Amino acid sequence: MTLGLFLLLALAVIHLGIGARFVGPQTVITALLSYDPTNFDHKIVVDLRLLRLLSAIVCGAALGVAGALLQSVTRNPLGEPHILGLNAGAALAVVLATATGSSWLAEPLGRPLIAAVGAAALFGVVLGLASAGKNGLTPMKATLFGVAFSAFASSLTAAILILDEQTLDDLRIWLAGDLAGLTYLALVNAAYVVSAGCAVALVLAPYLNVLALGDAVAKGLGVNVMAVRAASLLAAALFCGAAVSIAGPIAFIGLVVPHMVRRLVSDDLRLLFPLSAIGGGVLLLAADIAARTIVAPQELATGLLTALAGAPVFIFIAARRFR
Amino acid sequence: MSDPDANSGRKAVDRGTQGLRLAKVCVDYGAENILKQIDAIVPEGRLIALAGPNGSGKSTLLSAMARLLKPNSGQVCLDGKSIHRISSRELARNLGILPQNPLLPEAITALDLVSRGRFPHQGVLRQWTPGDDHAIEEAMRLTGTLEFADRQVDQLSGGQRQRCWIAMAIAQETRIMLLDEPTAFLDLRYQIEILDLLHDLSRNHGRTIVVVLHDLNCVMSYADTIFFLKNGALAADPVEPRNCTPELVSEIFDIDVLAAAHPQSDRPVFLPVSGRQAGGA
Repeated sequence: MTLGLFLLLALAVIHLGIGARFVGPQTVITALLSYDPTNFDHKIVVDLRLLRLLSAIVCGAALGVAGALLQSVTRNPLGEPHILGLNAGAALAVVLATATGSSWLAEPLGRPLIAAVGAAALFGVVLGLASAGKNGLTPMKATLFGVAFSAFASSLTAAILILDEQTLDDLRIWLAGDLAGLTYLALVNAAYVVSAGCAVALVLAPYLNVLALGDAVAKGLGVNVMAVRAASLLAAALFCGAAVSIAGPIAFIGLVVPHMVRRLVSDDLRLLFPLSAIGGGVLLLAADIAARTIVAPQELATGLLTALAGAPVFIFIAARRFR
Repeated sequence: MSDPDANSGRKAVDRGTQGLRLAKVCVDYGAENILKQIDAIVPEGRLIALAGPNGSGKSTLLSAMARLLKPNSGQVCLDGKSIHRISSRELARNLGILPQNPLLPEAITALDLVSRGRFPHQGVLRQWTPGDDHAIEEAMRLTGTLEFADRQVDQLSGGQRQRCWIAMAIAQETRIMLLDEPTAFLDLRYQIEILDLLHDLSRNHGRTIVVVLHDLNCVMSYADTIFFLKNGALAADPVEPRNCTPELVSEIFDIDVLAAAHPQSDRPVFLPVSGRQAGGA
């Protein structure tokens, strides 16, 4: 945990230093600790770059915990917001709301909550269809339906954007999964939603620990299995809604981080949740640093890089698990 | 309602409404009646075996006792109160179940697995108390799992793994423990180890043990009382092994058997009459 936090801090300092104008680590730290409005470097770090840093951390943390939750509650090693359809559902909801000019978008918590509803709705459909049939819910079916419905929702999103150029212009960069062009208000709203999700996840952790032993054992130990599942899915939808509202659909953070934490530290969800939050922040910061340096002075969308790095990990896990 | 620690270690046989009772319990799957009108009183502090042929409803009966499924009609009562009216946590402090195929999380250690049995004893704030530590240590000592407390359960042998699961159930500190075929897929040696352990729990720790067992001669050697099931109904009144006759066993399992006395315990042992030997004789 300490190591993770240290890594997060180190990356944060690098993250703040990088850009069109490089700022050394020492200057970054002084800018944060004793801000001097007349110093040009300080202004860059605090006024221009801090927002992006905080967004990356909040978004990465949300995706990390969402992945840990989904993997645990669906007993699916490939459980992840992107694969199970939550991200695509959230993106579709936001695009729909933008295209129809919904007034809810203007409400303070509108965007993250609309995204959360979209995530929950699409995931609900995925789970419902995957549970149908003789064998009930299997990881394989959940994954297949998730991928299929993600593709379906993404094409709907694309169709709306093609028909509606105004929405396209507003959302083009966001849809690739990007941390640029945010406001503090949007970040704070999303942070509220993430905090709510974290609280739910921490309360749920001991229940999910027991649920991991199978439904029968969990019931025998006094767990209301259906209620715990429902609460977990709600929390996962909140995380995805918040993350998508900040940065668009960013893939694979939720897949990779919980697997790494589990392998390195522990399977115990009381540890896995907080560590996945830190890990998600670390990974998304690293990806964002890469996105801004690889083709400097231009920059790539952050979501492209997490997908580039995450796809091989996905294939690795799938190959190991579904042999 | 009551402190579980006060209950374990108690052998009292309160003749009132104490303990687990089943009244006219029926369970259907679709049109099929899996359990038909089961009436039974589970005697406290004893080792009760549920026995009978495949598909006779043993596991279903155990699930109904543990509230894993709700009977279509009839009632299961604990201390006179329907188990469906007791809060989940309260029930879990009095009655534990080890189902047949629990899921083993990857990379979980034996100690971690056993400590999850303490779940119903922890409050909303999840306080860890010395009582929890004590219960876990005791459970691991009884099952002989202390020596590999820090090892990963998926790397242990089948018998060691099953002992970890039983330790988890013991750590739950319930006065009634239900176990569904805890010896399935184990070598003879591990079977005996686990049955000795269950016997010890009922004899020396005052626990009521209800166990589904496949092997008839294990039932005869270890049970205090046997509930024989056939086609979803109790095939006979609860019997002690000593009072089991070849006729009873033949009727329940649809095979001819010969009886012998166990050289160690003098309890009956039943040997199936094979068609080949009968023809040769």
